Parts: sequence; structure tokens; C-alpha cells
Amino acid sequence: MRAKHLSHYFSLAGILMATAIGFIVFSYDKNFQLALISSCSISYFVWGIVHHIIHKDLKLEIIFEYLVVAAIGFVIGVSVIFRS
Amino acid sequence: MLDLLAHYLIPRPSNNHKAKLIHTSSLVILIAIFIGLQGLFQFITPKAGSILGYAANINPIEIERLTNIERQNNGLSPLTDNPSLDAAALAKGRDMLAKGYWAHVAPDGTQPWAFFTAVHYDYRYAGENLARDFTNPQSAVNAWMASPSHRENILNSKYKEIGVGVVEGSLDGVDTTIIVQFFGTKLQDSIPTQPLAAAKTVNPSPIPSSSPSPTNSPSPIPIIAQASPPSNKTLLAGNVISPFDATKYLSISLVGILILVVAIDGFLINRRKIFRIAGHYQAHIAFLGMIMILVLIAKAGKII
Repeated sequence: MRAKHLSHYFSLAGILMATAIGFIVFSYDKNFQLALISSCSISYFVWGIVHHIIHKDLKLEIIFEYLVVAAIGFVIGVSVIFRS
Repeated sequence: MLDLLAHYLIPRPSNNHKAKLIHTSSLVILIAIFIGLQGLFQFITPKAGSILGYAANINPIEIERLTNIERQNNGLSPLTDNPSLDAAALAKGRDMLAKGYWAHVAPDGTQPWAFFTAVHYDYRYAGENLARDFTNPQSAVNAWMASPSHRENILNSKYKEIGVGVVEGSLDGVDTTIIVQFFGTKLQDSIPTQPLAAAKTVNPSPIPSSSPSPTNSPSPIPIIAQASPPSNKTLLAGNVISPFDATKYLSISLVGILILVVAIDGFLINRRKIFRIAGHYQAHIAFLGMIMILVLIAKAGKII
């Protein structure tokens, strides 16, 4: 990870930390937790695309890769919330 | 066998220098398997009897004790247990199981307050907290205290009495444990500072409402002996597997394996200085790590 990429990773860290903190603070509100996990997965997918566009190396394979990783996170998060 | 394992876990020429397990096609299959297993849980739960469900050891007296500790910690007087409220709470819980609903108001429109009047509890203030699928009393009370509206009910100085009912049964095809917590103040226990007709809206959420008693001459409250809640009962069989636990352990295993494989894959690719078209493994690890944290901190139990 180069130093010039750090700002991109700070934004990703912000998205992930906000989700984790929101998940803890609103532990009593399952609907809000569902909204959080949905937003986080979409944000992660968008972040991946934007990041690679900025670096001028976006390919279709990369879009699919971020999509399925985001989908795995979403499916697991939703399943755990639904079963809790 | 080892060769196949290496093909799935380590980047090498046979998998185009990317662990096969984290190829997009493999990840899609993993998602499909995970969803399939969730569907299987859903399908077998109603047929599994006591295999899948939420086991709990909830003592109503303990719920009341913990509630009073929270009140005392906040400078409020403890609530007194009222057997009629216990009976009303138990009746509400049984009604939820019988009619198959998880809500303050029954599908037929029955309000929580109907259970108060059914046991002749003439209230000036009344409130209700509901919880289900908690494994112990402390976690249920903690969840209520974390929710502003439920916390407001527990810490409401207008309430003087409490009743708790714990019922077990099948809701939506899953063995579950429901906790009903009723708060109340009898009409004769309060000193009206305003006309009864004007005392309708004092206490909102989550259904903590208060309304005047339907009568100005409160009748004596009969003690319904058989309606007292079980004082020390272990609910459900001890060998019940919680669908939540099953999902949680499955998720932890899947995410853990993926994080490990992505980390090894990224490390080896960096060390071998191989260029390939792929997303950033650091980002994937960060995202999956956050999912792992969410799964680890998730707790069973719902409140309304």
C-alpha cells in the first residue's frame, strides 16, 4: 500500500468503523442494523470501483470481485441479524 | 489431496496465481451454499421439534430483581411485585403464542391494556416491555436498558408495581421464549393531580401508555393463585441448538477461512512480485474483518 493511497484507505476505514460503531450503539434496533449492513456493503462496492477508477486499472473482473465480496458480507450480516 | 488443497488455498500457476477459493466463481458458490443452508435451517426448524430453537433459563423473579437494581442505580424506588400483573403478563405471553404474533397489539386489535383489565387491575399508569429469544435475564434487561424507549419504561417514576410473565412455545415455527414485562400503578395508589379525563397521554413508548381506569370506583384486585408465574423454571430442553448460534458459527468459520486465504494469497503475490488484475486484498481483509466483528458482537434476542 503506497503512502499516496492512504487517503483512500482512510475513507474505507471511516465507512467500516461507522458501521461497527452503529451496530453496537443501535444493538436494540434490528431494522437499523439491517440498514447499516446494507449501506456498508453498497459503500464497499462503490469504494472499490471508485478506487480502481482513480488508479486507472478498473476491469470487469475487479467489479465482479468487489460485488461478490460485498455480497458475502451482506448475506452473512443479514443472516445473523435475522436469526438473532 | 494436498495438491487439491493447495489449488484452493494458495496462488500458483494451476489457479492462475490466485487461490481458487477466492475466485469470483467460487465466492458465488459459497454465497449460494450459505443461503442454501439458511433455507435448510428455515425448512427443518418446524419439523425438528426440540433440535432447533432458543433455549433459555429465564426466571421472572430475576427479571424483576434486575429491573429494580437498574431503578435503584438511577435513584428510583424499586417496584413491587404484583401477582395480578404477573398473571396479566403471563396471559399476554400465552396469547402471543396462541395467536402467533410478536407485537404489542394482537392481530385482532387486542391492546396490552386488555390484559390488565382482565385481571381487574385498575390502572392509572401502565406500560409494557417485550423480549424474546434471550438466553438469560441479564441480557434481556441489558437490551431493554440500551433502548431509549424501553429504558424510559423501566426508569419511569410513575410506576409502582411490576409483573413479569415468561412463556415458552413455538412462534413462527421456532421454539422460543417470550418475556412480558408489565408496569403499573393502581388507580387508588396515585393521587390524581388533574381530572382523570385529562390524564390520557402521559407516557408514550414503546407502548408505555397510560390512560385512566375505566371506572372511578376501582374494584378490589383478586389474587389469582394459579396464574402466578413459575418462580424457578428451566425453559426448553437443554439440548436445543439455537438457529442463531448455528448461523453465527457458520458465519465465523466462513469469514475466518476467507480472511486467512485472502491474507496468504496477498502475502505470496506480493512476495513473488506477480502482477495480476484483481481487487486490493487489504481492502477485502478490512471489509471481511468488519463483518467478523459484527458477527462476533451480535447477540440473540429481540425487544419491542
